[in-house]
Amino acid sequence: MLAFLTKRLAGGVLTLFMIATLCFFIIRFSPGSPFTSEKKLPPEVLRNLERKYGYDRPLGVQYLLAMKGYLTGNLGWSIRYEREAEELLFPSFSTSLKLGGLAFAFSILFGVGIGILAAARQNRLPDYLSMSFALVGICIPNFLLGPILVMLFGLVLQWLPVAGWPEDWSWGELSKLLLPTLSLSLVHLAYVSRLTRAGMLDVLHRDYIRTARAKGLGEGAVVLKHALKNGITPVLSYAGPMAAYVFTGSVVVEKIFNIPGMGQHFVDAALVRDQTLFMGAVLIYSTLVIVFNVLVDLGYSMLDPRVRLT
Amino acid sequence: MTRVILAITVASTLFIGCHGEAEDPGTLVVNNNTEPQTLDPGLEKGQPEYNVTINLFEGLTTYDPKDLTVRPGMAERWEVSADGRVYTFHLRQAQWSNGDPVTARDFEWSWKRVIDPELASEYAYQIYTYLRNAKSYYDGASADLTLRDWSKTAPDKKLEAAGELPAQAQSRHLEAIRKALALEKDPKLTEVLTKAAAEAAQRKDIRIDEVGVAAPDDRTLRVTLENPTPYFLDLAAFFTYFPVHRATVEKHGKEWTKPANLVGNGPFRMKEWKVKQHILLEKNPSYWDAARVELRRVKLLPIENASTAFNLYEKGRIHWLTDVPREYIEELAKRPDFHSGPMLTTYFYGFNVTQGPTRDKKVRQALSRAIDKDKIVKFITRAGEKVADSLVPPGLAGYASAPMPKFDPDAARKLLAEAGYPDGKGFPKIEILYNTQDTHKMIASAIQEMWRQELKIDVALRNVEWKIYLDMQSRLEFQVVRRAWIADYNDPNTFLDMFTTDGGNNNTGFSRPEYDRLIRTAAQERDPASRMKVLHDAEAVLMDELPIVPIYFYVTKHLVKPGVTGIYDNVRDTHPLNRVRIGEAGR
Repeated sequence: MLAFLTKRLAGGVLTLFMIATLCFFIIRFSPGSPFTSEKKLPPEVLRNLERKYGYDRPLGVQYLLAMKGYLTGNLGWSIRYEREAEELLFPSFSTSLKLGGLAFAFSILFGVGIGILAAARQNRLPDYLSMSFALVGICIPNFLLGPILVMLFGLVLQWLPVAGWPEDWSWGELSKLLLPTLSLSLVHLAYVSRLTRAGMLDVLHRDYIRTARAKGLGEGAVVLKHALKNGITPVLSYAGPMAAYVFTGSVVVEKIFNIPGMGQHFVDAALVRDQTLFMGAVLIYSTLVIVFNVLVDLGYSMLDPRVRLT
Repeated sequence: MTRVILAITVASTLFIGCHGEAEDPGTLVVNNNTEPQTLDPGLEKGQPEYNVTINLFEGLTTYDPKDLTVRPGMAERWEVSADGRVYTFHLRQAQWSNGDPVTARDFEWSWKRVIDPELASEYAYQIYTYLRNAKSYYDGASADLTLRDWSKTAPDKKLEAAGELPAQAQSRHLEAIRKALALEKDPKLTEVLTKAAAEAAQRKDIRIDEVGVAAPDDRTLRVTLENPTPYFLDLAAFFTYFPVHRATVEKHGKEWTKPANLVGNGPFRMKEWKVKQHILLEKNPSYWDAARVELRRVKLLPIENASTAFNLYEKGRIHWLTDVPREYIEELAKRPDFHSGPMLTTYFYGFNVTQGPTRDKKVRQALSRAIDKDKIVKFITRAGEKVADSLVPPGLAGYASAPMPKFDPDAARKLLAEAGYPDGKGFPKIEILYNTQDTHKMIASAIQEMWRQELKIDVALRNVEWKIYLDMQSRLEFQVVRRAWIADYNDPNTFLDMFTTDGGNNNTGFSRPEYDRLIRTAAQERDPASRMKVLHDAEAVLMDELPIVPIYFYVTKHLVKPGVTGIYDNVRDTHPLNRVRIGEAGR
């Protein structure tokens, strides 16, 4: 276990290093610079700007300085926002984590629940209902789902706020979370429910389940105690990429609901060539994905003793 | 467990209490469309920043919210010398938000700060173009930095920096240039350095105290200009000319605009700044005219998605939108809370004058006259935009613009035939470049179709992301390109000086000595009427040569809740909030 973690940690650091190097040069070699603007700057002003942000130094030196910064935990100064990149990224990342966490929990809880229900009532009404629902969920992209939900619950029914992020713990503020969470998670919820159903159906026909039933266990205990553990392994392999997606892929939802998350910083930074902000966001996202992959591997070994951590 | 539940109940009641306060009827909520990049007046460069700083700071003059005419601000009165070069401003008794008096020395220091190359202000030219000796000072100080960092500079950047040196170097740089010369072997580099050394020997040093701004006493500011500038009082209200609080800037450095540190002299002061959530301003009781400021608070939201902002407006969470979703523009334009007025902004197409078929004036004229602009404003933009036949929009006092010939497909075909392409035969395929955005795309497709039908020529469309678009534009890597220009100040010069040979935003390759001469003459001319005549003549040259073809003039598109008064549609969409009120109906 310890050897496994050490190995994965070393691999993770190496991956991060390679990502950082690649991204540094990609953003530096893409056309346009952070200093190009619609009103072209007089050349003498441009020289001074480049000097201020160290763009006048040799590229290799700039790369080493950036790397040195990352090693000492310093992401650098954002050219676009005239602030430390950490100041922008950490709060927005925590927002993205909260939204992503909610969406993740929502997808797993309801997805697994619906999937079990459908499997236990295979080819009956609950199965048909939930699987049609899942099909719809998979088919509607969130840039369409978000506005539809806003129109329905926000503007027509007037039940929920149309946009924003909670500023305190009152219900009025917390209710702002509902629609974005739903928009972000519906597609995953749908996938999870289908995966759960398939996994459970597969397991429910195995011999050891027949044995469990034969020894007189109630249907509930059979499904939840015996079948579930093996039935949700497909969900687990989906959970890793899904986590990466809900924590990082919320740009569209952030835009629709005006949520101060990191996705917008990530996209904007790339578009305006703000190297420090972009690199910071990339590094945070990459770390997150690496950590989730390790967690998923750990999860496998817990659910299935045949899986060895090496 | 019971205690936990109790604690939660108490806490939530408290928060619900706070929640009510956020609905304070004295708070104006407005969408600022994006997150401001900085609130440092010396560094800011755009509308989202200005919408905040216009409330936090005040220049020597201010704008009337209705029509942007110049009003006394920090200066209660001023005199202008007979030659139009020396302005003497007399400051009123006013205070910073921390209680310190606002003095003429604050202005002097703030303006000199902007032209310090170490600050690297992108708008430094807004000051150094006008103040006496300011450009020479800026150049000399820039050369100081170039030579200081010489050994650390990358080889390719050395060549760029050295390219500036012959224009910048002053006699004090001579020795450093010779030292650099001794180090370098590259022939190109040694050539410019030698030239720089020769120039440096000829040019005298300009120090900061020779720049044309001085404070003889705390309440008098004497400004000396390089050229008589009829719009200088207008400039004096602009954000680059705002004063900043010296002690605060010196104490906190780059962090001085943080809410806890920021000291200003405007009608409002900073209360809270949550990035990507909101900026909250409150009334500044130390403001000299505070008695007439009605709003208690202003909340600026950074919502980029126009539909999201519109939804919040419809739910009554926002009082004022300065942009509306394009999809609903037709329906919205009919509503009583929709307000629209002309803007000093022109949408136009630029031609590459240096290569391809558009090198030929006749081709440019043909293409220009085959665009049916009426259709574009009627079916695409749809918010009441006016067709543009000149680059300079109407509404500038004393100026009569010089229009280009109207839409005339027959004349266009004839011109194209004269250029050697009868019925479009032999005309090479051309491409329209634009940055990715729906309206630009629709307009480009419309023009593509008009050119195809009227002139029988083959036109392709190319959309690229913003930064690439800017890059291609400035490298002249296009045949036809979509562009727009917003006036910096209320004067035709802000549009016309763009197309001089060395105009930084020319981006067409257009160069006519006659045009350059007219723009130079206008800058020297003292008599307002003859100056406007010269500018008119310059525009006439432009509208005959057509390196660009104007398409339409923008309009402002505002939604304002009934009951909110004191917001006016004006030509630069600049909005001081000093007189805004939220009446009963708006609450």
